[in-house]
Amino acid sequence: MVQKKYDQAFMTTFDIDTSALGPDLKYESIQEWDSIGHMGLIAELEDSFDISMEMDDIIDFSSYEKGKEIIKKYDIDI
Amino acid sequence: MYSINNLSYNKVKNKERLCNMIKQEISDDWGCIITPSNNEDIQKLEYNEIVYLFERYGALLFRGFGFPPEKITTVTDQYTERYSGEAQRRPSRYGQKVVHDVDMSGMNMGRGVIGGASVGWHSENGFSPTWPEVIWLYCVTPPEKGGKTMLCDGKALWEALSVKTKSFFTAQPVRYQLEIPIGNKKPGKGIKPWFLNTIGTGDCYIDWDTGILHCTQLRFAVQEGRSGRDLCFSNHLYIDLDTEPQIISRTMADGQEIPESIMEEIHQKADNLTFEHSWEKGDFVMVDNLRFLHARRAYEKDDPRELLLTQTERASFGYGSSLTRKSIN
Repeated sequence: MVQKKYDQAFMTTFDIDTSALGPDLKYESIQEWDSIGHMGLIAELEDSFDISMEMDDIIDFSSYEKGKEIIKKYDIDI
Repeated sequence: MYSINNLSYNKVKNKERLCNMIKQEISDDWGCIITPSNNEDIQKLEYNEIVYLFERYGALLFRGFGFPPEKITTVTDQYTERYSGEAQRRPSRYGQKVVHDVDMSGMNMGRGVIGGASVGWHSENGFSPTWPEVIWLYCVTPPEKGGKTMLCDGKALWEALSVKTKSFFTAQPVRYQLEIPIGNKKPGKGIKPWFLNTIGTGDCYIDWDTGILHCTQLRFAVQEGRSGRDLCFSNHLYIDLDTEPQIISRTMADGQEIPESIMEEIHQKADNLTFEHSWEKGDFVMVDNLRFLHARRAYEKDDPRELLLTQTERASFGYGSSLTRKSIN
């Protein structure tokens, strides 16, 4: 369920399907994940998990995989 | 002022046949027209040669290649590491996300000049954290009357300015206070402090209720050119703020306004250096946006003029990578 929510945030924000999710999905690896796309992704994750992310974590959130580690800091077991 | 209407214009000189294209200089210092030597595909032009010509001349006009607007990104992709993010969120044209209408594309971002009014000198998005290195213009339909695009070489302009004016702009950057629509609202989410990893960007936050990114951008009006030897006066100082709602205020970093006498001098000298381009169908222009200012002549509201714009925020080649001391001398 948590994984599904996490994946859905990416798919909704960047208009991609599940095949695009994985280790290769990184900041600027697709056109949609740029500085403005990053704002939308963080907002989507914050809304989905009802959290407010710290700025340092937002900056560190550089890939799909790295994001999983960061989300765990907010007591979300992914 | 000088202009070209066709390739035989007498200002065009030093015609040279390269491996698969013909190069003609517009002037000694800047501007180059590239035409196919034998019906070559524009995608097959020698990459390193084009990079060199671009860095050397700053503005390249590709004419006579006859490729359709649907193929613009097959060319621009070769020279682009990243497109401008803000621009990607404008309405796209011809099925390509990063291709937009020059005259209408800013409207949904809260800006733009209604109808065919003239537009003053500017570097495209010269105020923005995502300032494009290269802009590409494609002419689908030339204007019937008016609507010419003007170019001014910021390198020549800087050289022409008085020491007093130069000192004013080297001493401190310009401060732009910005409100940038991000194309996404989340009513009820409120304010979120933000950080943009670009030099000079500060006081950043997102108002999710309005979908606006607020920030300030400090940027010098002059910057180092691609050769590393020259400075280029390229900025966003002349556009009327009434037509650019993304810019809330524009002052020097210490808060002072730019003196009228300095603005007058810049206008006068820029006018003396103006190059006026008359569009032909299929013209494709590659401009060093960190070097050149461009502007638009007015045209009639119902004129069929259709120009497309693509913004390369970061080029696929290093800044000045083809301009070694050896290659210039």
